[in-house]
Amino acid sequence: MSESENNLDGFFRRRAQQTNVEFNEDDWLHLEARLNKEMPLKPAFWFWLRKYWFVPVLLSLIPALWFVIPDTTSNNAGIIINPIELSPGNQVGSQFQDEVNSGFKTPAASEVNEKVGNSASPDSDKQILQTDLNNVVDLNEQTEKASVQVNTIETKLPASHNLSNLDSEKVIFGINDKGYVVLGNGDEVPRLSGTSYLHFLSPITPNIDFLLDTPESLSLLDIETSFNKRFHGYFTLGIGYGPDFSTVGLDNFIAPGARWKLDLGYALSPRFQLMTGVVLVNNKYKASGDEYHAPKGYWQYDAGADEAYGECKMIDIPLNLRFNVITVGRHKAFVSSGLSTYIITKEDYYFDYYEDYPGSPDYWGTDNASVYPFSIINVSMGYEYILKGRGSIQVEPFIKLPINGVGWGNVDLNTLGIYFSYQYRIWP
Amino acid sequence: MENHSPDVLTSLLKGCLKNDRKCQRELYRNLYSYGMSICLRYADHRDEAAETLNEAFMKVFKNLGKFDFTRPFKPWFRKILINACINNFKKKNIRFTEDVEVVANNSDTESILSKIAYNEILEMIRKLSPAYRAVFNLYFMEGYKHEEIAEILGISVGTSKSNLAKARKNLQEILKLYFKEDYERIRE
Repeated sequence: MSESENNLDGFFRRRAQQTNVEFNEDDWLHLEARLNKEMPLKPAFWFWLRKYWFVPVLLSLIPALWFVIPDTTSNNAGIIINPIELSPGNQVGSQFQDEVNSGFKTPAASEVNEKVGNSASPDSDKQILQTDLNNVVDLNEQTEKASVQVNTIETKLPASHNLSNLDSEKVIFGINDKGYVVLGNGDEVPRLSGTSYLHFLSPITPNIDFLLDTPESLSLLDIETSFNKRFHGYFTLGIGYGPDFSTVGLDNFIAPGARWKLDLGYALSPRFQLMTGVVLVNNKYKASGDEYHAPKGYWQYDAGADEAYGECKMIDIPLNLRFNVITVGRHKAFVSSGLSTYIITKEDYYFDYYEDYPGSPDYWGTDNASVYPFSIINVSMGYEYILKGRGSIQVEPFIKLPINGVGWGNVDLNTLGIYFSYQYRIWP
Repeated sequence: MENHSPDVLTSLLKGCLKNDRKCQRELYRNLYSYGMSICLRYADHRDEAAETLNEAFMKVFKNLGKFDFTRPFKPWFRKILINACINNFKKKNIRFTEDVEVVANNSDTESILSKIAYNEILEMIRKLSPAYRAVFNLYFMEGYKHEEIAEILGISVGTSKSNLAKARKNLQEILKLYFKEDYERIRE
């Protein structure tokens, strides 16, 4: 390069950098209009409240429901009147048909109340089997009489009945939240097929709750009482599947992923259940450039990608507390909330740029696992239908909200989805 | 850019990180002259330069979370600015010529150059065709090598050299027109 060229080039370089361009307010106003559109001002509290309004609502709903909704689960059941269809030829069944039907059809609350305290004689099987509501109330007061009564009932049950091994210590006292008949010692047996239950809340008051399915089918009144109101915890095992709609920002869904879960539950009480498990997740999501935070120094031009598409495989380990809001017969409505730990086992990210950045990466991936303990809030509500036997099926829409960023891009990952699952009571 | 202490600048940037409009405006005002001086060299006219500057600022505000606050801000901002200028340039689908020409040496320019004002310099650079202007700016103003310019603009190294030579020749022609009389006098 010649000297004159250097002079010319150097001159232009020096002079072009000696700048003093006067500030133009209009240029700022144009930029501000763009900022207002693309990066609107967000008052922090109201922004988050608008975005996640349902979380405080749901969380406040749980304790509120405790007071508002009456507990209809089994541990309050003082008496179960269990009409059992006996085999043909059973004389006991026909013997009490009329009496039973009339007793069920006209049990005015005040009438029942008046009979509380009236003692019936439990000395003979015959007398107990011929009992009416008066006897029921009376038996509710004395454990010893109840035991005698159960023994008596046992002798009248058909040979195929599941209660055939009932002994004097096993007092039927209720139907638990899984729909099983629970005995006094905590054991449980399935409800009998084709039977109906008249369920009295305890203590017996004028506000007796009658839940009678089909009074016409009654052929025998089987009276079972309980004086043991202790709740016995139990474990459940469940399997489930559900679509996974993950996104960053709640409005960038691209394609559904999938969730397969194996969960373990422990019933702390008839209404509360502790749930954990393992959920295998395959999710796909999209994040805009300002929501995707690759490690510093990664981007060649620092500004980074404008959009990132993620495909991840992970293990979700939730720890949730479930609350049964309503239990009516075989139907339950529940809400659940807790925290999740994510173990991301595989990450693939594809980057898009609105403008060209020569040499900028368009992919990053890893098979190395990374752990994000308790970084996600789980909130769900669901419906459960209790099957005959020990199983139940349930449907459970859920949402997962980020506490901390996850993955290599440190994204605030939101997830919506719905679980379809089968639960089985494994022990006891 | 106004002389702000690093602490003040950091404070401004952190405000921008929170999407604080006052901090964004203050940063914009402080960097306006510096940013426009770069954009004006690449743009065909002032409005285009302002548009490119705003594009760069949007990029800055959206990606400030990725900025390493332990490093100086101005080089990062400059990189984004130049990239915005290049992207704007690319949108125009400018065609580059590939023939390399030998440019005549002109030696008596320096004495007249000191008379040229900044705005006139810009006018001269703007008179270059967009393709020559881009290579000229990247080579002389930003200090890129031909290999880097070739990669940035997606052209060959030969084309980059050719365009630079033509840009230089054209600038000399432009200078002649601006200061014909003085130039001729000096030549004599």
